[in-house]
Amino acid sequence: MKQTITLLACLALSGTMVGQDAALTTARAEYKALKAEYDSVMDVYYMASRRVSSSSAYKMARAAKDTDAMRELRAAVTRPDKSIWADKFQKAADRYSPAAGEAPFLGWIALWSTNKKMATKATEAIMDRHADSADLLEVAEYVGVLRRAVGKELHGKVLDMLMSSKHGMIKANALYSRGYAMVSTRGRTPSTQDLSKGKELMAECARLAKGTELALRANAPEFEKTRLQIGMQVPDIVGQDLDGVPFKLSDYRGKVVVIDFWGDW
Amino acid sequence: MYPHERSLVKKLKDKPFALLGVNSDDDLKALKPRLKEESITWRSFWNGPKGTRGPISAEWNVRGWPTIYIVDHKGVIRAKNKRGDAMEEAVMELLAEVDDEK
Repeated sequence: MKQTITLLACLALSGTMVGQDAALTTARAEYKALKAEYDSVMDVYYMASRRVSSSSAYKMARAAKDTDAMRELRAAVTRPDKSIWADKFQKAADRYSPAAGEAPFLGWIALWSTNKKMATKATEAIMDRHADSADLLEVAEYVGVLRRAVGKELHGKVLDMLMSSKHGMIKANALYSRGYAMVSTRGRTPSTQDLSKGKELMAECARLAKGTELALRANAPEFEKTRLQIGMQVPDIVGQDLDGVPFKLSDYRGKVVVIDFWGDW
Repeated sequence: MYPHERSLVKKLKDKPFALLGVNSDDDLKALKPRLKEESITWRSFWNGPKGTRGPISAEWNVRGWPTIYIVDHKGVIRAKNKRGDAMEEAVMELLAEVDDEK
């Protein structure tokens, strides 16, 4: 009898687990689709506004410092209304709440909603219910955005939470974010204590994220200091050109080379 | 930015000189027509679909665009972040060094 009850309990439990897993899979797929939809709307907008700013009419207006004409030309392209998108993400989150499926949607709202109240509520819900969620990678990657979105204090708490995540890349991103803030010399001189603690966090990040771009970024301040100073032999760059043809910086030895990190924006 | 680079590339086309870009646009498809529009003829590495978070700029600790390194014909870094006329001046000096060795 006792065994039967245990068996039934097990079945019931595994049944719930399967149900939860299925719901989470659905939620993740739904999140991916909604995000892709948002990204493509933004891409269309960016393309259109790029077309305006590279048009000869706009260039002429800019050269003449005619701000009215510039504004008028830019007005032909409407920026997508973020609050409409935040509502879509919120509706989806509500459908899954309070289960794990709401986490990715809440993450988006926390980071990208321009409504501080909404972002704060989403952030608090993540902290209350989804501290160890595997779906917080995007939040971890862009955690710096939260400083502005929900304020310094809450941002700090989220960072603490992510730094103790059991998911390696989430933890690694959070370690990087805090570590970099400690070693950064932008607008401040870090204390010796901060500097060594920050370096420690970045080193731990590089270990956890080994083989990824994040690890390269964590090692980058040291790389710049030890490999990229004037008078040093330049490290090679091995990559592909814009047509996908592989080539190397060292192919150009014998020539004077200007390396220009650029973007068309 | 482009006009100056264009004129430098044109001016030095018969010299032992190359302008190499590391392009950090995340969308190659959107970039391609812009290369034509702006007559960007010089070769670039692509930093990948992560754009400014791609691998080359990550390794090189690039946090601002443009970031510029000027390297001599022996592969030694000789200047950083010189733009416009200062870039051209630095390049001309290094080209003179190449000539001196001949």
